[in-house]
Amino acid sequence: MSDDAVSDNGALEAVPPRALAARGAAWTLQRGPRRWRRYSPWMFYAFVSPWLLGFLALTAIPMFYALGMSFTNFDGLSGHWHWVGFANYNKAWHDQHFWSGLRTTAVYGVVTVPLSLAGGLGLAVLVNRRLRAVGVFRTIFYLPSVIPVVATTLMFKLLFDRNTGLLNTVLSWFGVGAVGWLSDPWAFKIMVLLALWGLGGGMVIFLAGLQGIPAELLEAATVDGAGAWQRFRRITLPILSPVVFFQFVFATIASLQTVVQPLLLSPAVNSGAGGGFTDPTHVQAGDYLYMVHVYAQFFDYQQYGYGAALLWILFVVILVITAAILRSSSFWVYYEVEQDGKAGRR
Amino acid sequence: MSQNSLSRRAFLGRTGAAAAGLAFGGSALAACSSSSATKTAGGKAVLNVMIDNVDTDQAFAPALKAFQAANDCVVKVSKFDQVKLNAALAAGSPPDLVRTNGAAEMPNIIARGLAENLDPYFAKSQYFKSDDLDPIIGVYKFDGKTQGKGSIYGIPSDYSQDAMIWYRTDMLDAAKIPHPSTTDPMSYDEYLTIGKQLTKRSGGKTQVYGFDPVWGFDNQAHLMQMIAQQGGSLWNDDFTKADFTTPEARKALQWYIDWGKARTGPGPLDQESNWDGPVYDADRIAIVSYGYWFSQEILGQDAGANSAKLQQVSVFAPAPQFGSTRVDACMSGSGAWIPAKAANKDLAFKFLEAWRGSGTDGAKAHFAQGGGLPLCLSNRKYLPQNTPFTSATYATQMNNVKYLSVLKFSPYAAGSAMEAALNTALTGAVQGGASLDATVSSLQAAVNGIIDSGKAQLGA
Repeated sequence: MSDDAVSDNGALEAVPPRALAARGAAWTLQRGPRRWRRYSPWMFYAFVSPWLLGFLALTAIPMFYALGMSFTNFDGLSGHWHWVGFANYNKAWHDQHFWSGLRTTAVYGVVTVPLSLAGGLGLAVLVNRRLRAVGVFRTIFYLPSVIPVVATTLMFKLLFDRNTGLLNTVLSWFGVGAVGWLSDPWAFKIMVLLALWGLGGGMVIFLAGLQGIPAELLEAATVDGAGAWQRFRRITLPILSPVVFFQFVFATIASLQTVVQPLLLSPAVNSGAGGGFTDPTHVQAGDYLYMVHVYAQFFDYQQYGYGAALLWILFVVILVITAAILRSSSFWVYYEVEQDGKAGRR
Repeated sequence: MSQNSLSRRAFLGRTGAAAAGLAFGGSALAACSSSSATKTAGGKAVLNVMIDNVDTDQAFAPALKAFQAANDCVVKVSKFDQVKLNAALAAGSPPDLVRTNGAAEMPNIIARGLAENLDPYFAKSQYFKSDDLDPIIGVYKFDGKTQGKGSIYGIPSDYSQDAMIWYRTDMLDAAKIPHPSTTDPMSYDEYLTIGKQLTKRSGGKTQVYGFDPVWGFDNQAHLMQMIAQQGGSLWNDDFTKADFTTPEARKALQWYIDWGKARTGPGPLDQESNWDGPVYDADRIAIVSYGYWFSQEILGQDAGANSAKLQQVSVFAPAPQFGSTRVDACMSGSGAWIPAKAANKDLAFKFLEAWRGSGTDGAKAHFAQGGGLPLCLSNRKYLPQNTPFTSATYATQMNNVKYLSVLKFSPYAAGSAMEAALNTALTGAVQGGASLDATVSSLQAAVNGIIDSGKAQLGA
């Protein structure tokens, strides 16, 4: 078996390992026609098939199925449905809850994403120091993010319940009247707090990035007279920027897709025998995120076609925002290794 | 070499072909996964039942075992899940029995052609005789236009007149308020006035709610009843239009807004983390509008150590009235229906017979717990009457049941959609201070949209 290299005309050709090693670091991949020749194409398909099947079955097909559904008035139950063209998209344009949900979600993202990034980075910097029992602190900070979101949300509900919650009980000891934390106008703030409760997840990723920063760089900066802030600003942050970029993209997408927290923070609905359940129409106006509106269309109004249209609109919004973040990354993300033949800032 | 090359075009083409294949295969797979197996490996029939707790109900367990042995079958129980049900119905392989909330759901389910007509089964049944059926069966009847008429499409597990009242004598005595009659109904306004007196707040917390008409529990049905008590109707004759602009509807909506703002019960301004049962058990509700079934909560384990005390101080009374016409309807009547495409319809109906049929062990065990009134009149004798609490409750219920009526819901509007529209509009009025006119206007537009959509789907 021999390794491959690219000839001047772009075709792959066999190169002995020793010859390849001799080329050393000077060897670079040259552009050319995108063809690979060593293995059978079917070998390629065999190797990528697990991912490809998963992607097709769990992502691509459901997405395009939903796209087709968005042009119908399908109710999710019966066979009585018709093509309605762009009526569902037109309906969204005139739906006040669509716009208010989008607006609330935008505010939620603008508030929670920077706070969670800054908080996660701050915690990571704290636990990156040489402290006694630093492992214990890391565990404590990380612990909330491994608890399922349902459990955390229900815990918040118990803490902030107006009549039986712990917080109001503590406040009453100081003569402060009970506050309806889970009702408007406080409901949104509690939901933001809930989002920040899982900072530990981001902290671990930032910590991994921080520990990858060469100590000699920081030492050299110290020798040159740089203070702590300058070292952080001029060395740590730039080297950490790919990690910030990764977290920024994922946190933004997650904030736009938030649905479980507002549903679970809403009051229980009396279902008669057996107990309460959550319902999107009982979600407080301040917590009425875009995805709550989508959920209501599917499971309250049984308007699967309209719900699918709303999901596709959100998909396009996420696509545009992600593309904008990617585009902006060339101005603020730095890579230590070459990216597409270009070194440094991308 | 060329036979080994893989161009981008070839890659995309083959991936596209794989996608198409997978789409076809995936659909088949989805159908298989959501379908219900009809036979076990040993050749026994499998009855797929999508009704909560049938398998964990200790009282029903011996009857379930006997049913499986007698019919050489296996009953496979799954929790009710709307998404799974949708997938199974879409794939054409639904469960054999499906739970329903009853009153507000059934016309819509039947109009969509999802439920099996059970008339032939009832005609042959030894356990459901026509002269033994309570009028509540009307909830499950539909003639293509009107609920309560025509063929039968399901049965209630049990039922109650859900707006009836439970009040706490100790709390009323402490506030020096006379006890409501157990035979003659009081008005909604009277209960609201008493509720304000009984509500206790301290430091901004609500310690005791004075009166809860049970916000969020079939609001549409409660509203329809309040309108009917004034001699009006929410729906027009062919159920294609709801009218919230009538004086009767406006008055009922205004009452709900006043109640919400008075904060005498868990509502838009007062959230509770649990449903009313545990709140009542914890001595935090003085008057609550629940039906006969709530006696099971007072008697049951949920009430814990407080159960004995609750039995002493809890009294059952007729539903409040909003006009001169006495209407005391069943708001729900949750039960089960057999999908038209179910695989084991005969066996499913046999299960219904064993479950709630006249004189069966399953029915005896269930109704002895006081969880609701039976469909079969002959099963009423199993309702609990062996303690002062249960006998007084039974007496009140039997006196009140003659005022039972079946509300008529529109087949063009799913019950959940109507609840969502009402909750959204009334919450806006209570929390945001929207005027009655604005509330009526937004509600009318939302419900018109629901009806138009329903009509389009049914081709009406």
